[in-house]
Amino acid sequence: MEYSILSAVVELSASRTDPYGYTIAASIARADEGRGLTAHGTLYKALGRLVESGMLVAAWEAPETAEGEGRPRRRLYEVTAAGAKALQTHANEKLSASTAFTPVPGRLATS
Amino acid sequence: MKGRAGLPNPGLTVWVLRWVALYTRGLPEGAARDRADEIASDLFEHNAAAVAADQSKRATTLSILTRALTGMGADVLWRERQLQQEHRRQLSVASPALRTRYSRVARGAVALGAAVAILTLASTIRVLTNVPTAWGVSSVTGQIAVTVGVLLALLALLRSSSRILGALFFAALSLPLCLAVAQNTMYISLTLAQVMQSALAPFAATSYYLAFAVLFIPAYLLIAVFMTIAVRLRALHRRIRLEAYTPAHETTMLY
Repeated sequence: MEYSILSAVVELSASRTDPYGYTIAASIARADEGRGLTAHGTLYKALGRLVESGMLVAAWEAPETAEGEGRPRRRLYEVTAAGAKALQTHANEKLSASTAFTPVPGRLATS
Repeated sequence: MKGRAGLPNPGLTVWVLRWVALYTRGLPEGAARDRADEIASDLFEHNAAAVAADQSKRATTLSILTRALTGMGADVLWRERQLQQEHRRQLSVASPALRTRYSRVARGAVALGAAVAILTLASTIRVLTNVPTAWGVSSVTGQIAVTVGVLLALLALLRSSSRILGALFFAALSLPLCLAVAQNTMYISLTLAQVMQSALAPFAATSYYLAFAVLFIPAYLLIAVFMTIAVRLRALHRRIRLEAYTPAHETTMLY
């Protein structure tokens, strides 16, 4: 869940979309087709854990912005250097694990 | 907390926010407010996105309800963690004397609870291995239920956020525990059964009820001890909280 969140925040920031609770949940659901939106409790508990561990920083947007648009204020998240590094390490591990288990044609044991 | 006009699910929004208010009750103000505001924003954005995508009201309701219901376990765990963190923070700023007193009472409570749990577990194992298998599990249901209860009470006692509740659980379980042990004494230890029989005989000769009253003396003692622990822990918790929110120069005036 934590890596999915980090990845979603990075993607949202890259696409110039504000990363806050709902957009993060929607981004995770889009990345993992067939999966619904992450449960409130699971999402915000994980976000809190990531902020505590220094992988994300959170800041409430200015109340005037929210009032101007007639909606509740959003808590915006940003990936820190430590979070980006952890995400990169996870991606590398996933990549090396997938290449390690890729069967090579013609080299399978026959006896 | 009112549902916003124009949104497809104002009733559901109110229901979810009520749940948030319930599980954030008694938490530090900042953490509770942040969580409530974040969920309020999420619900609004979810509804707005559903309206923009022309999603049916039923599908949106189902989606929000699923998210709220499936996250309830995580909400409760998050609350527990917040309470523990707050308790640790308050304890860290409490005076050394208060800290020592608290840890002494907590250690004593855990030691006593663990001893009761170990004895209960050992007696249940004896009962399960000695009761004739033909009688089935139903004959020892009470003993098993009490054992599960005692283990849960020990779990609560081990956590700083639920220690008082754990002590109260132990107090409440003392009578059923004593009754279950008394009913199954002959399967726990024949020697113990004989000792109990001879000790209770003089009382039973006077009155059957008197013998019963004497039989439950260990339960009364356990109730008294665990209730005392709960009361003392509560008093210490209040003093720790008071010290945490009172400037240092004022705490000396409080006692």
